Amino acid sequence: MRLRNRTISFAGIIILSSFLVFVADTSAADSIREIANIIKEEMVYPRECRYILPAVIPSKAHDVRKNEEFLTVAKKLEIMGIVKLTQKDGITKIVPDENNYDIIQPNFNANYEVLSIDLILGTWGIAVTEVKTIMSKTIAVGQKSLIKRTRLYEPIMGVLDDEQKKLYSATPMEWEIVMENGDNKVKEKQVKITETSR
Amino acid sequence: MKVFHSVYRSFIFVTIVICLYSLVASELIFFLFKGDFYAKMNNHKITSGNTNEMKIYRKPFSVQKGKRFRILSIGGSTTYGVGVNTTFTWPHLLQEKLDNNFPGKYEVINLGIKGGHLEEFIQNYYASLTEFISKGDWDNNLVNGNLKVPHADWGWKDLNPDLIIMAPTIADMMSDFVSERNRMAVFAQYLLHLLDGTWFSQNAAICFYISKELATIDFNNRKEPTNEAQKLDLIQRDYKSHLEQFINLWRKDIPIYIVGFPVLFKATDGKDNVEKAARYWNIQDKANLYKNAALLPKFVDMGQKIETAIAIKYNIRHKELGEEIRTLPFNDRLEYYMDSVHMKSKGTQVLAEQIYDYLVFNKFK
Repeated sequence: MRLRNRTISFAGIIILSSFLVFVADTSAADSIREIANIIKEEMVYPRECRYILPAVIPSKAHDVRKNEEFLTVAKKLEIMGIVKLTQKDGITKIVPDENNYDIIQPNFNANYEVLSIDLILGTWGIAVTEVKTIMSKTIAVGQKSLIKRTRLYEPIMGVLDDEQKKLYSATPMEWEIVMENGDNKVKEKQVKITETSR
Repeated sequence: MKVFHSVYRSFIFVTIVICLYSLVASELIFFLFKGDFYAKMNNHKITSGNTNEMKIYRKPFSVQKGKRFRILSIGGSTTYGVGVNTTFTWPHLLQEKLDNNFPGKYEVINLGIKGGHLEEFIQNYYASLTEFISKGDWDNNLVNGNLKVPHADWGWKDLNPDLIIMAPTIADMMSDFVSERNRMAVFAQYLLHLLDGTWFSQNAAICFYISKELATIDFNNRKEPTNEAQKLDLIQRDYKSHLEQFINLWRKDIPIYIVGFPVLFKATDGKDNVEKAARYWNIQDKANLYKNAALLPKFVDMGQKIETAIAIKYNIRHKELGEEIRTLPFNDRLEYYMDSVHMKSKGTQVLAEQIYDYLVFNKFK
């Protein structure tokens, strides 16, 4: 009888502790979900992953290496029939094809001259894996990755160098959430990779 | 009595001198420019059908009307379809919807022009432009008098529509002072064409030429408004006047529908939302975005009030579309736009659907 009671007590402890672990786990999961929602709301995720191509190459805002990269990308797009290139006196002008606006989005000035072309490579999404509180600040850790890829992704990755490719691949992230005047403010930074992807 | 006779004689004398002057001057000028006077006066180049007359439009169409009920969709870049593929412009989607439900009965022509504005629309009524002219070039060069406007030998009037859907653009509400001058010039040209270069038309056109110059003087002497309220008031008056003039161009039996499209920002959207939009589109230089957030809701509100007043005055239909987009939370609203004004296909589909329902509800009348 004593043994039986002990068995019951032991089983009870296991059930109770499992329940507590479950509750704690659920509450942690809820907390992560809640924080993830705050980050998504403030940092506008999911959002498009864009590669910005200037409409005129060489672009004064970039160095020789970057301009060479732009030209390689532009030529790839021309082969794919997504843009038309006109070259004169060493200057290449890129004219976007209006029937590919689902994957390219030109940026115009007030006179409807194309300034740059955003190539839509896919959609960024985030996943939060851990939430910590450090000095009254909430720090969330997770990663940013492409949850959808457009038909431009592979061809563009095919012509970018490894350093550039990293900007469009899954990246470990850290978010700092601070409450300011009743609103959540989120600061985002990439972990390890210092260059910000566009 | 003597005084009366003297005044009367002077009046007759002055009238005769003016008539003679007008006759000699018009004949002389007409002779010098060999009938091309009015074209030269306005710096217009009349094309002979050799140029690609359809290149400013999104999709070519036939000027000659067939058996189908013809709907003209008139507007700026939102009608042209900046930001979407041709098959996702709202006129194209409307055509598809009509074809599915009334096969072979309706034809939708997309007359949307990138950066199009009402002045240009008035010009297009008489003779269709063949090249895109930015609003900035239009305004600046008309004042300087060196604008080259290449025309087709047909105008929107020749399309002979059965119904017009007018989607006024934000560009219509930008400051615009020179249209009066331009309109005089266009009318002079039209009059000359209509009356086939007769003495009467030359004199009439001379009068319009003088009116045009007077309008220029008026424009040059127009004082720039000093504060925002005055500016908005001036824009409001100009917009109203242009919209009315455009409506008055068309035959009264042609139904006109004015539709308003939603823009991204609402008056209640603050700095946080501008930052979110910049993040969403990866915009580094946010100055324009802040400007858009501050000004666009004001323009839209002003436009809506004017359009409502005009719709009542001229007994035409008016509807603000996209209420369900306008009322969405900001992040969800962002998904419908490629920038502060232009919609993605997700948005144009909503607009086309609503325009279709509106037309059917009103039985295309």
